[in-house]
Amino acid sequence: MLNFQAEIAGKAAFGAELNFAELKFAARAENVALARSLVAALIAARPEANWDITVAVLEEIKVAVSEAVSNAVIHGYAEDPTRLVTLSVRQYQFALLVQVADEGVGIADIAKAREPDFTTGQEHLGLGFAFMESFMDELDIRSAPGRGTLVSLVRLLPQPEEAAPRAEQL
Amino acid sequence: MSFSFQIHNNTVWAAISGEVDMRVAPLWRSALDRELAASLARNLTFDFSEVSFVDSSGLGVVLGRYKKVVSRGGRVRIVGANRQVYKILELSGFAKLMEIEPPEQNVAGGVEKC
Repeated sequence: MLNFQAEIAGKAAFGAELNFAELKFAARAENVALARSLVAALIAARPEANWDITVAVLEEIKVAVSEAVSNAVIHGYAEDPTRLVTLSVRQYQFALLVQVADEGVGIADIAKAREPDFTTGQEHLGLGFAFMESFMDELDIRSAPGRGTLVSLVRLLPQPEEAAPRAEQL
Repeated sequence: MSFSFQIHNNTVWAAISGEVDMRVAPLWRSALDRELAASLARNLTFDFSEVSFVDSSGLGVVLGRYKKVVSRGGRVRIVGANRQVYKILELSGFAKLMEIEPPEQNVAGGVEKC
């Protein structure tokens, strides 16, 4: 599916993978809400009774997902509805991993793209990556011109302080 | 999603409801620009009390209208944002540019569960 392999720091601490879903959708503006809804529904459904993310955190994750998908639709594919964005969601014992992939134009200079930018046109804020960084525990971007982009977003679950440390799952 | 406009005291009062993302942003921008062009009111107030979600696409519309209104000598305010939306507005740095009404202290925002 992807041109790239994400390098997710600290993945060993995510624990066992509990649930996985993947959705492909056309690069159309209305599908950004669909992507947010899928992520929100999976979080609300909880793969385990004690797998819990608060409403406030869910809202932050929705913003990050919205930014990543909007980037794929607008920048990756220039809203070409014949092109497909892939959204995958993995719920682990101690983490949520959301990946947004496109096979569009790609990003030549990722570091530059990540800088908050108020100047590139008054209508696009250039704050997308800043919001992804602020609201997620990890943001990993893999991209190359002409080969597309893979954005990985990680949010760690809050751990109850009284819970005994769990054995790491392999 | 719906938007509405009212004029009070030299201020265009622009309300929008629902999720303000890249689907809604261009429609809202056009409607706002039509309203601002047709009105003689100097100031602009965004009423976000029915906004459930906003991302950088929606904020881009706010920033663009801010520039227009300020260039005409007007003021821009945002009122009614809930806690989540207010957090985005804070992160965006808009508080340095315009007056943003803080969310009500009693509104639950960080404790309830899904």
